[in-house]
Amino acid sequence: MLFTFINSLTLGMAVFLVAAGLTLIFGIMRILNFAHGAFFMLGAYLTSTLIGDMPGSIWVLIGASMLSGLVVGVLGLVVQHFVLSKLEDVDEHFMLIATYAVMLLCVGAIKMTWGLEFHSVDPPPGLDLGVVIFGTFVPSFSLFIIGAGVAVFLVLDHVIHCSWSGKLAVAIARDGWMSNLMGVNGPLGVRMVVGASFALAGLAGGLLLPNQTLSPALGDTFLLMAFITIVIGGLGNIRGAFIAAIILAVIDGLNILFLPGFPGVLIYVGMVTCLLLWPNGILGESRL
Amino acid sequence: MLDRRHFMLGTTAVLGTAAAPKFLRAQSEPIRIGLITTLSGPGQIYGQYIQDGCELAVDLINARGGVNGQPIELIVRDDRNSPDGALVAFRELAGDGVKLFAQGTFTANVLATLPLLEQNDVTMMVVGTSSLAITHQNYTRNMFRLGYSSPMCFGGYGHLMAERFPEISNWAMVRSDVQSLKDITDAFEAGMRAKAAADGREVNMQEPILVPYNGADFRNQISQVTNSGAEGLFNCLQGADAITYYKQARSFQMDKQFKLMCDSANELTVAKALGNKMLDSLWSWTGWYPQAAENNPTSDALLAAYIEKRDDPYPNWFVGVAHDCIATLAEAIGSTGSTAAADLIPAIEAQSFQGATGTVAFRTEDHSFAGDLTYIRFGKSESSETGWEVFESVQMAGVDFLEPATPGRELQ
Repeated sequence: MLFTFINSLTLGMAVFLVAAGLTLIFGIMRILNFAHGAFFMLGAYLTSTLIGDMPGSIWVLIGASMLSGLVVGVLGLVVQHFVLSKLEDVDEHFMLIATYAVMLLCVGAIKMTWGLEFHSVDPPPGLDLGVVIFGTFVPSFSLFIIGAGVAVFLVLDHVIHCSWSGKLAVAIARDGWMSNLMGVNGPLGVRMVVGASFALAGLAGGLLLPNQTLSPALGDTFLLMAFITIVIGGLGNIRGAFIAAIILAVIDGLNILFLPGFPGVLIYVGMVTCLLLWPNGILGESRL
Repeated sequence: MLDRRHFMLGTTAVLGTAAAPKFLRAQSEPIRIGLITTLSGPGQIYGQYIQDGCELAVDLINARGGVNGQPIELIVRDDRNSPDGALVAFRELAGDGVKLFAQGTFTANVLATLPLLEQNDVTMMVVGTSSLAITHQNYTRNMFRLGYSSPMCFGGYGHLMAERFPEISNWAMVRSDVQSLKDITDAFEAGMRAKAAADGREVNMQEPILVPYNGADFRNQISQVTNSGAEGLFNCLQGADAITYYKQARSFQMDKQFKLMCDSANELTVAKALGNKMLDSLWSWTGWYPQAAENNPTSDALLAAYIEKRDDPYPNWFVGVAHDCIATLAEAIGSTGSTAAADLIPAIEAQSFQGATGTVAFRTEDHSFAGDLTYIRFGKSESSETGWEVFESVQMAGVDFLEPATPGRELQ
């Protein structure tokens, strides 16, 4: 039971790492970014280029992931400048099509740069085996992913709700016109949040790299689950996304324990149930 | 200024060319073969292998002077990984007069074009696709499937494992909840049970453990497998899922817990991805393993050409199979001197030749591939630069494991 829960929590936190940036960009710009999975994948490929087949230590993995996140964040600013900012006043359907086009461009660029073959990057030494907790064997890398998910949530939650920059971002997201009147540089704030959203995608790609197989389809693996997470949690709500990721983890665990013949089915049942109970998500739709 | 003499000379040359016998002009006209495969979206990697194999076959044949003096021209179209895309590509090429086709990767896309073959009077080689429907309920005589049906390929696999490892009587299986993978585990189980029964033994084949398709985390299912008490494992996951599964299983030291591990069909893709973190020992089926093909100059030539093109000494099996599809058409055209389906179909039914994958022959009744089966065992190696090596390979006659022919009817 403990083993199942920890493994499911691993999946939940992995999904939260991807969903965090997705919900952040929705909070500030009200767009569902279809390109998020592609930039998550780009972060993974960049990290693999930096560290090779195996990172020398856990700090090398984290450092390379942060660097990749930075690069992806800068690319996000480019996307914001040339695509997203041009579509601020148009119908949201155009945004979906635009981000889908960006996704195709990004995936195409990855295929041209790194090819179509599968690649694998190992966990750093110390995270490649497992530990025993209360008599239960737990893979070390699972604990790393859970720790990374919790750490990213705590940092984001603190920045958004406790720091001045976070409060300014919330103000811009909720009433850009009024915050402009108050002397806040709205467009700069939007750019910063969009950059952070893309950077989070890149960071997640790097951190999860040793857990997955690197291929041009990697983004698809997580994108659907990330969308489910932010819908259950409440679009644009970081705390909601974190809670939803844990709920998904519990549902996945129950699925494995009680319905092993139908893997993944209960997650969709859970999503429908949550939406019936809380149509705007568990914590409600939010502007950060 | 054009004088009368030059006018007469020019006119004579033009009329002479137009009036020349058709066969004289045909010598320089290329034989056009349309290739419809997946070159975008999921499955692109396999479409790329197929394109490579077909292009190399065309290059090698043309380098030898073509077929009866005519070069082959390959016209490649992307099916966009959809039946609609395959139909659009087929109609375009057929409308342009192309009478020879090769098509793969996915069954659904192939099934979309099959009903059109006869009315367009074309001959098609299906590359690699394993679905039973193609040679059974959806059979059409204008199609030849150079691919391995599940009963042949994985029934043979189960037979081989039961024959070589009679001491292993308790098996676990892993697959996604996908029909084509169910066909594979069913065929493996049937082959193993049949051989064990013939030897007077019983084997316990546990219910397959299901994992999500294109999943992110398989650790719960890995734990189920390692706690199953089985001695043998048959892993039926494909592509990235399989590699992620083996990666995540490493912390469980799964390869130390099973006496025998079998992968369905990922062959060296797993080893190339895992490198020096490869499992100790793993069996896999493959459609083409050139290093095991002794006294096969076709295979040697294709491997050399592939290495020159891709700088990779371990090509995917689709390359060999795709090559043999083009070679099959070339052989038939060479022997009949015709590209018409009415001439080619009986020629292909009757012919047997050495392709890159071994003997290339088709069962007359349903045009199923009746060639060789190859299985390899590979694993971690300290002495190899790649971190892994192939330890052994086994070849068997596929015709011994072909399911009964029921063209036009579903196999019961």
